[in-house]
Amino acid sequence: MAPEALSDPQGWPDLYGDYLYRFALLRTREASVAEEMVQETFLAALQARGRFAGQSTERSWLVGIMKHKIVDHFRKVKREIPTDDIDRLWTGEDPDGTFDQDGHWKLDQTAPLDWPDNPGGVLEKKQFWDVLKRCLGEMPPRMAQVFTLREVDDVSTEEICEMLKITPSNLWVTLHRARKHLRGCLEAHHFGLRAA
Amino acid sequence: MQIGPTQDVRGLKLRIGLIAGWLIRMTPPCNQVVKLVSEEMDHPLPLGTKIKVRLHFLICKWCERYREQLIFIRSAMRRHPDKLEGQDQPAAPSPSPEAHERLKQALRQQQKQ
Repeated sequence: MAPEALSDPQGWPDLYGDYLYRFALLRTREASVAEEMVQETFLAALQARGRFAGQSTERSWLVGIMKHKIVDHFRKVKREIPTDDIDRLWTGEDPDGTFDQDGHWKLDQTAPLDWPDNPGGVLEKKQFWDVLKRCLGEMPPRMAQVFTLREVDDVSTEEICEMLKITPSNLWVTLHRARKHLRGCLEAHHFGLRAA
Repeated sequence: MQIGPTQDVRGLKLRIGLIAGWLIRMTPPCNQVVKLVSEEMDHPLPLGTKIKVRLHFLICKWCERYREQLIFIRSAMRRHPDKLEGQDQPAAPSPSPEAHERLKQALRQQQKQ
């Protein structure tokens, strides 16, 4: 099979603009940054056109370039407020009172409930993803960035620390809080097992 | 001495109770276990800690459930990042018309050079 040729770059914004924008928005959490990432991706792709080997589709080639651009962006951004916005949502050891004074779940209030069977079927439901997106949107942007890098993109914790210039212990705490929030939010709003 | 079935059950309950009590004292409380469960998703725990967490699960189905649910959320997001991005939703966010035009212009300019 002949390698796939690139299409006319003038058509890229119509063909891939939305796709790349959504990809960048999930990861950067900022519309203006996502737009910038799309533009930088297209311009870099234009320059690297000759190196497109046709091994992948045009879109996945562009996504590959965009991933590098997003990493570059994270590296470049100054870290004036490294953890402030994370602490804004959660302060203290157990701010939402999940545990009793001995450190155990409050059985009739906070203990994780049994989610309905067939979790695979859940993944096909639009409502599940809507709630997940909403819960993710409730996180401070910085926490959501860290969480997305780790949980969606499977970036190693060492790389995240290096990229965002944060300490490993800061990263563990951030991820723990993000996971705890998302689980509780899903339980309350999607599975509807307990009022929020 | 012959031990009847009633005594058997009672003895068993006592032993289970003693073991459970020992496990409650020996393993970290739930608020620590949830942190370790999260940490284990990012790097392996020291063997001793890992064993303590697993022993805790024997007496606490809630912490075990917590772990299963975190893993479920992770695998859902890794399998379907497109759904999280909203790629299948017509109403998902798109670049503004101005931004769209800027993209086209930037490409035109770059191509001319």
